[in-house]
Amino acid sequence: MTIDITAQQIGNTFADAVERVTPSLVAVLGRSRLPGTGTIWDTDQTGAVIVTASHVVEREEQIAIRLADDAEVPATLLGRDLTRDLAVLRVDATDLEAASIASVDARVGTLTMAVGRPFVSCTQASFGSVVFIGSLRNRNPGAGRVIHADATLYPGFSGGPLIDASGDVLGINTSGARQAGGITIPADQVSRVVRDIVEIGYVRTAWVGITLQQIDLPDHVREFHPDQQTGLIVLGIEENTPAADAGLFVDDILVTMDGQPLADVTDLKQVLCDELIGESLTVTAWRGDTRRDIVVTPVARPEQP
Amino acid sequence: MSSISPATRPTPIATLNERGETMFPARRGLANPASSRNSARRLVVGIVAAYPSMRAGLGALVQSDVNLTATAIAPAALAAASGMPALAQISDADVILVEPGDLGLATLENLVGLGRDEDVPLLWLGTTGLPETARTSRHAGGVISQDADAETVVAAIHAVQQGLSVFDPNLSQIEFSLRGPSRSSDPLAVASTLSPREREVLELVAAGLPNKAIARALGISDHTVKFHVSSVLTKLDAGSRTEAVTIATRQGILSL
Repeated sequence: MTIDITAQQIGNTFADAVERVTPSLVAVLGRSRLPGTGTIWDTDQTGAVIVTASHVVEREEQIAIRLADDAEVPATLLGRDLTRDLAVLRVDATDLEAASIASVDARVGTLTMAVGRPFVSCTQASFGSVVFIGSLRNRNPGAGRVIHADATLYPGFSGGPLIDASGDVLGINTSGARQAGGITIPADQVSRVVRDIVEIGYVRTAWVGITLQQIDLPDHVREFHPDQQTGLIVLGIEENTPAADAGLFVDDILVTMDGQPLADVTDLKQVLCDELIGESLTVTAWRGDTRRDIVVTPVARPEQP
Repeated sequence: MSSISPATRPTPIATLNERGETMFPARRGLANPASSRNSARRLVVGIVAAYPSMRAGLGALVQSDVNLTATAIAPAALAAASGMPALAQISDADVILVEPGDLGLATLENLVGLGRDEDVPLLWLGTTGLPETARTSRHAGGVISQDADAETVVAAIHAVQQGLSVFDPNLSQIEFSLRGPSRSSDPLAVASTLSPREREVLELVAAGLPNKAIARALGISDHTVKFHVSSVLTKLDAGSRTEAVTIATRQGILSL
């Protein structure tokens, strides 16, 4: 296989990609510190929907975006996805240009750039590749997967896109998600978050109706799960919920769900994404000395309140 | 030292030392080590009340029990102790008996903090002006009526010193959540301190709703929502909405 491409061409390709996505970048003024970046996700006749990182929007009111020509436009906060650290804003400006969303998923090895524009009329970009795609903790593909790329997220990059060589958006970058460092929420998840928040005001999630706490696995359980030190003990089960229907009991210790280790309560939160509503999931649970595989079928979290 | 000689007054209640603190004389007979050789160490009861006469009276009441010795703590010292190393008198005490009336909220809150930090149980005499932190502090202690007789007070002092919670049923109109000493993270205690409205607000915060949408959903004003959110963040010791939701989920307050 012959690859006939010069370093100059690669450089030009990525510089062009940055230029292409630039009209869809805004600065988000939602906190007292450095602004973050926002990515114009969708437009219609009356305005535009902008995605940014939730942690960039510390205020609930007096949020604004700054456009390429320095103009500031007030923005309304439509909603947040705290699990993915995303926030969705709406502005009434009509001449905005939505970013082009990549039609294929990022793959390990894909060359990428992280792009941000926290400062006035100045796009910034850093180069890297997709290192792995997995959940925040377990690096397993599947539910709650995120992109880990090694393009540096400079201050103010949160809320900006990770783009491929053609300037298409692979996902939204954030440095605010737990201890994971910089991560990218894949574009298909961002689109679902935007759709839910615009249409129903919050993000649909799968729900089983259970409260839990982390617990050190007892020795007799560890024998069967040598790679796992902690599990989740059931504190409470609400009536007429999937957890109750499945026959889970208070004090059961949950070790895995759908093959994913449950070492922290937030692991379960990530497993329970909206795609799993109505799916049958096997939970490995220990009740005293007995291991049980219990099938639970999450429902959509009931509407609040 | 301006002490009053027993010779001129046969039954002294208290004396002042050079720092102006009230000192209670040891009970007659107990000054002799031989007589107390077989008894356990006497418990030191710190007494906090607004006025010297009240401190003196409570001191005498406390020392009616041979196993207790009293030391008075002036409220001015507590006000000054805010943010400073705890008063030696607080850390030396086994139990602190407080008459909260007229002490002022700031002093009482300092006292709650000092008691918690030094792991000294607080026993409240009555509930006048009792701060919210006293009701919700996860800390051993108790509350008894101001009308309690000496026997009751003494029994309560011994009980809270043992790490028990003491609660006068005549004061049942107060919700008290006194807990055992020094449990670092007690989810139920935190959960029980969130009001039902705060829990509703927290659920909606977790769903990602902005304050305005929460206000619409609950039929309350934006301003009230802001107030509840800020209260939830304080109670959960969270710096942001995200952190509050993570903490609440990990503590089993929010369901999954």
